[in-house]
Amino acid sequence: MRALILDGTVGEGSFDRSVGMLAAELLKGAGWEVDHLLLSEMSIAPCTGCFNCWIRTPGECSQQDEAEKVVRAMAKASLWVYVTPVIFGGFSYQLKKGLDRLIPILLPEFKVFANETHHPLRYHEGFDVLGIGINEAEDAEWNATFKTLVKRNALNAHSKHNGAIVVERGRSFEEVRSSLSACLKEAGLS
Amino acid sequence: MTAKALVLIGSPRASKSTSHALGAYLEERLAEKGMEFDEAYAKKALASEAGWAELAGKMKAADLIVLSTPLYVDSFPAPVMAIYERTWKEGVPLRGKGFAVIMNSGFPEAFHMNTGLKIAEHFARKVGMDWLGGLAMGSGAAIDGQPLGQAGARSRHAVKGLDMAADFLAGLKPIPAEAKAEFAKPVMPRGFMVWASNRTFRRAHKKAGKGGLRDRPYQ
Repeated sequence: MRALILDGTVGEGSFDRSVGMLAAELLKGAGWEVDHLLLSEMSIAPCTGCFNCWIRTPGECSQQDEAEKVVRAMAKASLWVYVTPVIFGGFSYQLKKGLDRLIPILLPEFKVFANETHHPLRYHEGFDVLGIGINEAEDAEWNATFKTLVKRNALNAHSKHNGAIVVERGRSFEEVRSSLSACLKEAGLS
Repeated sequence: MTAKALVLIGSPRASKSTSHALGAYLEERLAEKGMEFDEAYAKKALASEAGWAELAGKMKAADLIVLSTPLYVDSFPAPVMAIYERTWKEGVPLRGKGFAVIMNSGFPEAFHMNTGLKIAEHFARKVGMDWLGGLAMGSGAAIDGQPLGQAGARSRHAVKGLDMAADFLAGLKPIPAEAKAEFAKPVMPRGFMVWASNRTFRRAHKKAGKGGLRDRPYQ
């Protein structure tokens, strides 16, 4: 069982960064092997939308940068964990720049699954997805959109297990640990 | 005073993109209604500090900002999220300006863009802009970056939807539900779109690709 944490937080020692560390600790405790990528410290250019990874060099991106590490790690994992500040209900630029480069993980073809069109996956039958958002304070609308976005990502990843949680900045680490632990259990990931 | 519109293209494919084709068509309609318009590209704006300053200046000068963008992983391309974040954190003054979004994706269904449009609405409200709504269309590959006038019947719903939306956007009023529904209409049945798209990819790979279409280089 290998989990990949795609960490879209910034600031060494920040509260946000510590949430990712806590998630890694909990996953290891639950028996997962964990890869933890700090995306803000990686040189990853935005996707150019060329689709060479589907047509010219199937499964491989034409851009030579550290996104290759992300794609390799995604292909090897069975669980993707996103850690990100909640930005208008979406993901941070740092997480999104990495996630946008996942196109080589998908096959170019379309297939209808449960009355929705999605791309089949190049690797595995599905990847489980856990979204951990961090927000300034309780914001029901942003948080609901964040959870919907994680759910939509999970559908595209053909997940069997998925979940999303928003952690409020300023909570104690014990509270955060307890919330994350409950979320992992609820999603069937521990 | 003449109202000004800024059309911001979110696609990294810039002027070759379907996002540009849709945005350019709207620009023409807004100009016919007496608006001045300007254009900007997300990728260029983020390439340098001068590019960012230019975009911020254009946003400040506009009464209406329309983002035309593809769907990337259920949301916006990363550079668009960077523009949202930076605009908010730097306090670019946008209060009272109108904001609308045009989204397209390769998926046949338009509903894949609902979450993205919600994020755009949250952004608009946070920075004090008037949210004028979003248009979403599937099967963007059917237009494939061509000017809508050259895309023929494949662009008929997009054209009609944009025509209807322009009437309202020119007056800084919300896009009506009828325009959204027209824009979202599929240009062909889903089953045919899936078949045609899959055939196009297989043929393109056969012509120019290496190895097999389903190769797993990182296994």
